[in-house]
Amino acid sequence: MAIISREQIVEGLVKILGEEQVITDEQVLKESSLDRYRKYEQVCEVYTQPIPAAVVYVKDTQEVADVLAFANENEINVVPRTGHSAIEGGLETALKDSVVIDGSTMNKVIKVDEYNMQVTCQCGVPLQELDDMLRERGYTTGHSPQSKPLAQIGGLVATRSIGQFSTLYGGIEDMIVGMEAVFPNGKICRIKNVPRRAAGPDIRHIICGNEGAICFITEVTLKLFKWQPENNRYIGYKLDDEHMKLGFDCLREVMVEGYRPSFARLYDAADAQQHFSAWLEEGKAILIWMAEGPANITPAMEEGIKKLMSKHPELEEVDPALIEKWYSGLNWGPEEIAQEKEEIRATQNIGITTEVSGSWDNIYEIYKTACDRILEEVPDMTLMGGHSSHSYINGTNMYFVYYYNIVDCAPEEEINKYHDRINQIICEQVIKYGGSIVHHHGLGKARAKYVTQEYGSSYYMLKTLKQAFDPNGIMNMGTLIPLRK
Amino acid sequence: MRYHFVVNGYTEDVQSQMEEQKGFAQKYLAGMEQKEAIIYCRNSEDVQKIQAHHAKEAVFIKSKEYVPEHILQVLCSQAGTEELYIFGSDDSGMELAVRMAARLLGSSVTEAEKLYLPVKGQENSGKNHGISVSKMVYANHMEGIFAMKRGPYCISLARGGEWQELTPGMFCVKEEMICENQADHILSQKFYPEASEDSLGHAKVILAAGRGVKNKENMTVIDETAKCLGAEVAVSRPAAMNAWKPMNRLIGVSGAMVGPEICITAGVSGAAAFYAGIEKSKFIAAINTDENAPIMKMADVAVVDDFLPVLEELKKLVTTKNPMVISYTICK
Amino acid sequence: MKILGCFKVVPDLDLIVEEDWNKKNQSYVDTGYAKLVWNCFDEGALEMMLRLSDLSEGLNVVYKLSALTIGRQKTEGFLKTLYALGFSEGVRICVETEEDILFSPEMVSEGIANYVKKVEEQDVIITGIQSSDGSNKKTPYLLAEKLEWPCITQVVGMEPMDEDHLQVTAQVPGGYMVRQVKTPCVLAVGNAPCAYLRIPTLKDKMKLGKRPVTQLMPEELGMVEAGESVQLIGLNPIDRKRNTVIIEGDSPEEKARHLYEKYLKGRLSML
Repeated sequence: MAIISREQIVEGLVKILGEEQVITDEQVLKESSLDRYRKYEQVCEVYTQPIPAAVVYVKDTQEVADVLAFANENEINVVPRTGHSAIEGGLETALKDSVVIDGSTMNKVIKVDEYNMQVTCQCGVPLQELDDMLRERGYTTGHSPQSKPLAQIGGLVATRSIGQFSTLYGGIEDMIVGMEAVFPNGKICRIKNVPRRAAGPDIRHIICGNEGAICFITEVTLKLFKWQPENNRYIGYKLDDEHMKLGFDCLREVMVEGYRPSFARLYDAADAQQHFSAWLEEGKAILIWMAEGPANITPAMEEGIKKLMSKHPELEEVDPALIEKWYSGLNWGPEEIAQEKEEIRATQNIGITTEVSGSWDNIYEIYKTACDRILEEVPDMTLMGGHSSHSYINGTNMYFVYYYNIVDCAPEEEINKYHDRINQIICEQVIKYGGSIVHHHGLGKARAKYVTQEYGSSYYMLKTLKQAFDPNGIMNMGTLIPLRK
Repeated sequence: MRYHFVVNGYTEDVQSQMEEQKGFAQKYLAGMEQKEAIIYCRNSEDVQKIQAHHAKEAVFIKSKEYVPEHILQVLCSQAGTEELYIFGSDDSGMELAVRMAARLLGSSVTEAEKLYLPVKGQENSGKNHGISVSKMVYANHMEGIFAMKRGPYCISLARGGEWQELTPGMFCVKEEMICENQADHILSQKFYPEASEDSLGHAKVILAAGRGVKNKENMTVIDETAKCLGAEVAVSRPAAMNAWKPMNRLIGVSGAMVGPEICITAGVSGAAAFYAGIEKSKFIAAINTDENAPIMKMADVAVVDDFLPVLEELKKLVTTKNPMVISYTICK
Repeated sequence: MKILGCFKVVPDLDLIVEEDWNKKNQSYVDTGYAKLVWNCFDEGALEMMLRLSDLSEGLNVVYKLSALTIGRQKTEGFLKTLYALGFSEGVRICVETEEDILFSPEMVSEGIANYVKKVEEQDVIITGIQSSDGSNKKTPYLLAEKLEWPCITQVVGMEPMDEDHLQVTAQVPGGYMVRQVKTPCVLAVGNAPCAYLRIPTLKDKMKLGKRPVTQLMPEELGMVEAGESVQLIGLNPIDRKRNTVIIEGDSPEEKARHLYEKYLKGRLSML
């Protein structure tokens, strides 16, 4: 913890950045002490985390370096932030007198390189604006996470984000080319933009996924892809909820046969009703694929997937127009976020998600046993379900979706009574069957306590990285590696 | 066919109600004969005191308390079957229009936007449906045109239609009728005035500042211009997170969702989360130095320039050319 | 006291794709793919019923809550949710093509009125003022006329009194009117402060939500004969795009003058 006082921290920051960029307004500080992991506390405006000493806005890489060097010297905990859409506690200021370094003012697109098919931008560029701009030119980043209307490039890379079209384009780790990041001692490192290299370990992955616990990302170069939605083909089947195991097998078959649809999804019946209640019977699960790409590829992929699925009498084909309409209307955006807040206040009912991954041979067990245990052990559940939305040759993810009523519970107790309890059950089942407890939201602080179980013997490597790059322990403490209590 | 205005004299804004009715008639009922207005009220003075009218003659239906069932009784006893009754845009107008038509086996449309008269000579051709009226359906996503099949034709107006200035002078009272009945379904009633409303949610003009305003000092220019325009000041999330204004001035999904007549944005980039908050504005003017900022495609008009000189000039223009506002502005 | 909540299940119009709004010459919009939700005005009415029932605990009055909807098979899930929340009766008037009732408030109110007259008497009917899709804003008023009951509109709250009376709060210009009302009556709900319905737990759904829904046919309730006095003859797309005009000028001052003279002056004077 800081070796100088809160006042001295602010003074020091003002000396570096000027008064304009150093914010000490109480309400701003409070809102900067947490993220959507404590959604209920946020809605109730109850703040349980230490309130940071300041939020600082940085304008360029040198400012980041200066602030970090100052923090490093004075052992001040810093929390890097851009879009503020984190949901696993990664942005909580866990230590007293922390400083939030906000990179959202570094929001320039530096270069769109259409010949080499890559775009370079600063950390604070909003993904929505970037991709909208690219699509107007006929390109896309291929990255489309649900947080798109809020998230910015720095945060997306820091948390190893993934988007809806990952089965074709991959996660953010497959899209990054080069980067610039600043380390706690103020050292600025640039990794150049090349198509591939075999000059030692891929050090980009020290940056990508560091969750602000190792360095501050200031600039990222991403790959570009052609945007040709007119060729999209949609394929859908419904099946009884009891056949979820078969559903996972169908996802597997498509991957194993060598198809690369842009999305591949399996919703269980409970989750499916949240999306398809207009025409899908209760008790039915649903399988969906979208083929994306050149005009001569997508019809072939559609045909191939349909041929594979025709072998399963348990499946019933769904009118692709219904899937297409659903997909075009998928607009989780600002309105929904505003409405969610009102709904939670009115109904005391809250919805949370937890995403994990597993191999083909254990994902069903993870899904089934976690759902069963939660329904058995947690009170006041109103919905328990989930979907798989990112598939690989060797396995897939599971996105648990759960809602519960908050009954006789103070806002500051909610996390313990419900959210963490459910998280714990899911993590326990994942570790038991051999999956990963985090698929794409980051460990944050919420799941950092399971880090040794998640890593096993390789925890040595993570710990060594943290110690080597952040010897004074100033980078987003409590994230990735839990605080010692 | 002849038309009547039906006026709710219980409300404070009886004048604007009448102005809207007059505006509607001028636009859509040209050539149709106007008959006496029907005014339901506590007291005819409540209406006559505004010293303006939109029909030469008026029938007053007076009742100490507003009870729709009582008004309806008198209203229906007066009605002719082939007449058009135009109610105001308030809840009472809507309810009475529907119930009056139901009692007299006529037809009603609520929240009418436009009205189309039958084309001369084709009234009974079968193809033409007589009067038809348009209104918004599907939560304002579509406009529906409805043929009204039977008279009397009772419509209530949509809010925010065009208006016309009233003619000075009082209504000539044709008849006064008094509802004597007691409402036997109401044992007692008590009125509680509403506590003051939030200023952003009900503002007619909003001046919203974003990150492009750059610093807290520049916010004073925003404040001064807003004062001149009679606008409320609002900020985007980045500006609020810079503490340039308190959080209760925040517009967007984490703050207020507003729908003013005019929304001017200065230095706002137009992130989706912000735009959702102002989407319902009738008119959006954006000022931003970056012509590629998303807001510049979402606004009705855009000024590509620094907000400071633009607002300084705007301030001068409003102060000198708008005497209504000048009386209480204290601009430099 | 027997209270009937009438509600409509509607498509979530936020999920309708742009091209479906922009089609010309259609008599209804294809909303068949959008997720179903409670009509928000009715949702407030149903929650209000539950709150009334909550408030009656320990009082000498019992509320029997029923719910009625007109719609297709899929709407029964909503009635079962109401069972799980404590409603004692759920009725569906079976209509498979919902376009038929979209702009048919006469038919809808006739069906509800006849249910109350012929099938199950009620003391109070509460319903939303409008549905999000049809937006007719007529059903509660027509219902009051057909039953010859008084109607209170813009209701925002109900509180218990005794078996024959309710305390009803309604929004009126400038504030709220709290009335003690004798039943029977029709209550129309507008912008209720409790716009969201509570959510039953999965356990309550298992325990209470399995009872069958009472199904009635439109023919039984005289709905087929009820003619509409107004008929939809056209449905037009609305152009909502703001085609941004960039204001030209050699200096910021000149641009400001253009902005003011051409776009702001008139609008400001209208306010």
